[in-house]
Amino acid sequence: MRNEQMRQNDQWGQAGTSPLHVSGRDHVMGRSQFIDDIPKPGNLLYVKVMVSPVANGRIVKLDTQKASEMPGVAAVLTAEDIPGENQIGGIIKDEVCLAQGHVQFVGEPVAIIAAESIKEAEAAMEQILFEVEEETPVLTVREAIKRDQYVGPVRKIERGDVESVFADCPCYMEGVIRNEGQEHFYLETQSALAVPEDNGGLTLYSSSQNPNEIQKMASGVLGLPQNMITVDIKRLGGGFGGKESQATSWACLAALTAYHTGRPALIRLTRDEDMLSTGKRHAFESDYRVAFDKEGKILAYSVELNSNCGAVADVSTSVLERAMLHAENSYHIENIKIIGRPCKTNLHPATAFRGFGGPQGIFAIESVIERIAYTLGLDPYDVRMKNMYHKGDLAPYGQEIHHGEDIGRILEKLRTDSRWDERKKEIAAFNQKNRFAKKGLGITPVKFGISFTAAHLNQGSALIQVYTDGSVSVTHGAIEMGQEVNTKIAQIAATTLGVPIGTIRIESNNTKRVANTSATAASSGCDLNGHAVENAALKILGRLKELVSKLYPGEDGVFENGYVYGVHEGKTDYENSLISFKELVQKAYVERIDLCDHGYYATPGIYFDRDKGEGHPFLYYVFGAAVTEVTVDLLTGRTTLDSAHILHDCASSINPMVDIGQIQGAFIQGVGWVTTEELVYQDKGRLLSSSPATYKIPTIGDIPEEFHIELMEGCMNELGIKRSKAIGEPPFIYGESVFFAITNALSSLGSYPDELSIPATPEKIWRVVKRNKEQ
Amino acid sequence: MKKTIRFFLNGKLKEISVNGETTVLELLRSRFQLNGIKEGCGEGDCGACTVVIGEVREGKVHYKSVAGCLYLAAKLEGKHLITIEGLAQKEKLHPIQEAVLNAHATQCGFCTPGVILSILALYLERPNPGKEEFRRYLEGNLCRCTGYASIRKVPEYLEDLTIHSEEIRPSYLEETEEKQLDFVHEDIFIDDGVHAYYSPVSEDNLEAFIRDHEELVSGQNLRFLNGGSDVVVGIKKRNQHYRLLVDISRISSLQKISYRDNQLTIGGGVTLSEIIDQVNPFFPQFSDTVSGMCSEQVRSSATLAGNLVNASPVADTVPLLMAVNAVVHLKGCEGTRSIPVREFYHGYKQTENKSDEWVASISIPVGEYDFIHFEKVSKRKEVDISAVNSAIALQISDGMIKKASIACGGVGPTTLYMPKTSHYLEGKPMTEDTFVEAYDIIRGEASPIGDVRGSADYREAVMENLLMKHYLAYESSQEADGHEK
Repeated sequence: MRNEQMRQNDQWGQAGTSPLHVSGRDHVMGRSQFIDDIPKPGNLLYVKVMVSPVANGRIVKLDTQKASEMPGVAAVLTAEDIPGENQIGGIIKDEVCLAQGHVQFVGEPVAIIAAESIKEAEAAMEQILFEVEEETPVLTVREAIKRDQYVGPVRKIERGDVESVFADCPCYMEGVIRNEGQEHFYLETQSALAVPEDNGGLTLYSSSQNPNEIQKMASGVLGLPQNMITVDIKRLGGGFGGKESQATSWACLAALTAYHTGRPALIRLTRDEDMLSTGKRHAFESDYRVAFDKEGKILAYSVELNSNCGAVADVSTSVLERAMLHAENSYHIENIKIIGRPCKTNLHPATAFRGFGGPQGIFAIESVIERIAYTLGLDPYDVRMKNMYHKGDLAPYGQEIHHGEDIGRILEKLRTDSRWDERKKEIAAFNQKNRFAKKGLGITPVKFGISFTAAHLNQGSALIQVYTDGSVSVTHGAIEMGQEVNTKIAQIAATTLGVPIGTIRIESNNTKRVANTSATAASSGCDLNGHAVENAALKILGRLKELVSKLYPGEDGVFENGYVYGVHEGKTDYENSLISFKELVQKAYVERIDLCDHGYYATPGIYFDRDKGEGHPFLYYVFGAAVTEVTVDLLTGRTTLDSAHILHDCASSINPMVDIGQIQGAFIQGVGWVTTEELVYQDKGRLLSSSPATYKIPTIGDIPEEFHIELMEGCMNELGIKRSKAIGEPPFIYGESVFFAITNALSSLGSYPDELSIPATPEKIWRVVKRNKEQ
Repeated sequence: MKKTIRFFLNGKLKEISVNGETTVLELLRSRFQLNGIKEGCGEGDCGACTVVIGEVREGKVHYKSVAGCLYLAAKLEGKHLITIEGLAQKEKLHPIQEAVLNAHATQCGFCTPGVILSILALYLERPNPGKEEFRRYLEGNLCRCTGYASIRKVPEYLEDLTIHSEEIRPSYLEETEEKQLDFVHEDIFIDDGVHAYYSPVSEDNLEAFIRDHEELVSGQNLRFLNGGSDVVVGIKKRNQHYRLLVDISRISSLQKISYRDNQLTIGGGVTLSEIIDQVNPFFPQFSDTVSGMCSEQVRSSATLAGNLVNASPVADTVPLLMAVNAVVHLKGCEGTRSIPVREFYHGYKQTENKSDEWVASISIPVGEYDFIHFEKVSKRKEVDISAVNSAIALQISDGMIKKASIACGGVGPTTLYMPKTSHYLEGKPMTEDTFVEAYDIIRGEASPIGDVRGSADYREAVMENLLMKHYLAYESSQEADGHEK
């Protein structure tokens, strides 16, 4: 992609190239360890969790006596056995570790059984006497709003005066937009291993994106100071946000077991248990009002984003915030009013999931644009370009969309590359001829803000040790979950220190080596911790460079690929290296120069006043767009994804192959969300689709033959680490283009399918077809 | 009869004691500490537990991918189990491992061993697989990270490594294959007093065993299995245990496919994978039907007999067999008897066979109909249980339907043969209108209920619409053949 300068031995893994996954060999050999692969300590206890079978009610009986007497049982624990505080709420303190007095959702942990084997724990669980006086559960957003039941404050962002525009405008529309939730389906289910130490402390191995929160919460639950809890996390078998806060319960329960029994304790949820108990992507039901002119320009937009948060806050207030901050997506809407309501219901606590409210806020405005286009008989691509941000425009909360002109550049290039206009004609001709199948084309542009909207979370840490043989150990505050943050950070360390990537070893994330870190979330893991690693590396490099000046007076040391070169006549002298990195390091050691350092980074200049709905919450934005084509079978409702074109802005990609891999994976996960991934609940709040037999994520057969991804040239990110941009979340949103391709196909039946919500399953599509037939 | 299991594990001979309910997943992780195999779902739906099994079939060792969470360890007798740990030679990667690495086709790594082993099974059996075969072998491997695009490119990277097909075969296969061919098979019987497992090598042995072990086979104590892809899920997840599991997968007399006098006979031990390949020349529509079912890891051990006997109302093989009036041949100690598939089901999960009878074979008349078509509707195209499925068989001459036969699944407690609709179509012209008219008739033959896979009215509508899909399939088959409409 960039990196036009060819250097000698140029494939040493430096930023801008695509070295292989630093754990790739271990992955393909099957020797990468996940929690359940860690060699099991001799006196290990297996922990099963008894959860609530009802969504709402008062606990009238919880008798564990018989259970604790069952063979093989070491302990049966309830809320009564919590030595510290029965509280694991991260942002808002409304979440218990074990149910106390009442239960609030099906799957809520009530008691834990620790036994010598899983079978014995399961047998004991059946002996627990548990009775609940059931109360009617609140399950929907509307029901919660009626009762004024929220997990946090209702928020507002406003600019201009929507009401006066609504009072007098050429065109007006209002309606409801709905999306259901989504299950993360990380392949490695929730697991944690707690190992007690000899001093009353504890080491926790947790499949979690948030070691710091695990440490804090375990410390609170056990009533121990944080320095007595060590959390060590090497990697996750997938996270996607589902382990940002939802891993906390299981880690704390394992810790509680280890605390009471003095023995190591392992919790590993089965797939069904995981799906039943853990939170999902927030479902939203949003009411909108929009004023527009005959050319499709939006004059005023008012949207009430109502999220279904489940029983406790978890990260819902932040998810809602991001949804609100993305409510206008890539469009400049002068008069805008955004209300956000985080509704409390008796469902598992909705949580972080790639996009974190962004996809949902964006889905609302994109749906509105499609409806406007349909109503006016305009091309949806044109309507988007008519409303898009230009250079210098300000977001509703006041921030300037820096590099906003890239939105237009991307949309124009993609329009040509995807042959939008020709394909529209081809599709129209196809639809004319075919009665039982319709094709459709969808476009979704994305503008995604990068930084945690909670400003204090934007910090990263690192620790680098350079050993006297020149090998390097790097610990950083991010968690590797497949997004290859470790590979990128190894590249950053390698590039900065000027050594081949093979000499860098990325260590597990361990709270003794990096402390007080933020969750690996908000796509920020590489940004924050890459900067911190660069910071640490530069400090060490600085000292080594000083030594070079001392050893070779007059020489400027250029560190590359394991050697130090001089600069002669303005050019790096690759022919004659001054010294190897290894030898330099040995000399540094003898000279008593510190070869290790800690690095730190705090994102500059960001802030957000959530009471006013104003500020500069994002360091920068990521831009991109996708065009997809589908064929919808009107007889069965089935959709086939025919092609996808994605144009994405990474600025200067640190590892193009990794970024492309992230775009592919995120997009397909988005496609799943909008088509086949349907969470089905029974009417009392229990998840019915709690296994892969009923909850269907995309398979290899679902990806289109034509699947083009291009990284946009010419985009800049001056403040990004190695001038790169974050990648994790934005491409997920491209999946929405498939939804709009479906609505486009169905629109050819004579009306816009207003009632279609995410996911557009075959049955829901069939209902749209049926409605059209009856009208 | 022996109690221990002798098998090859990554080239080395092992002998173990297991109980009848232990799976290969449990065996590998708990007993051998080979943790490359992962549990992603525990019910054969995600592929993270994929391993390769080498077994002797027709005098040759064949390799297949199986779901380790479903494959009972006791089934390993005489077989070769290849895990991810058996691929690399010390630090030298196997070409498939190298190709996956180079293609950047691994991210979090959890699904990776399963993916690699599925690819290994493919290349060991089919030296030059095409895109379609690759998809077929990988559709049962769920990956949440990569979006599959990089995985789909692995064959290109494999080609780039310019290896010869011999290098795909782990070096120890030469020796193990020889030993497997020389292996002497005898009955296996494992009983811990609570759960028993019996694997006979012949039907005669099976009969004798049943006669001698009345106490184990009486009532609901006995369950037959070949692949066990639903029986094992029942054991592990639904608390459905049996006193005795009888594994028929080593009885070679049940593994035959024969075609004679317009009759295709498929033995009770013939797997779905075998049907896809071997039935295609005689009955391609049935072959197609089976390739749309489950995943390779399940098809490789699941049988047609199992699909029939398991009696799911959405079993995908049943509609077509009902439409063409196939017959199930049951065998027991009292002898054999034959039941048309149309009469095999008495109610939800209630079949004609007694618990101590096994399916010897299924005979399928071929060539009686001019047009045969099956269609299934599910949320996701691959590896998804149908909401509704439908099969049609028509005899057409001079544009008129002479004989018609329709059966639908997912619209009642069993797959339903539709006599009224079938009869209605007979004597009518082969036109779209005829099929539209039939909507009302078929609606009267079923009252579907709603469940997690579809509501009642959707199922009803799809049942009707599938009539149209059948007609449209006929139309395009005519266009493809260049016939006039």
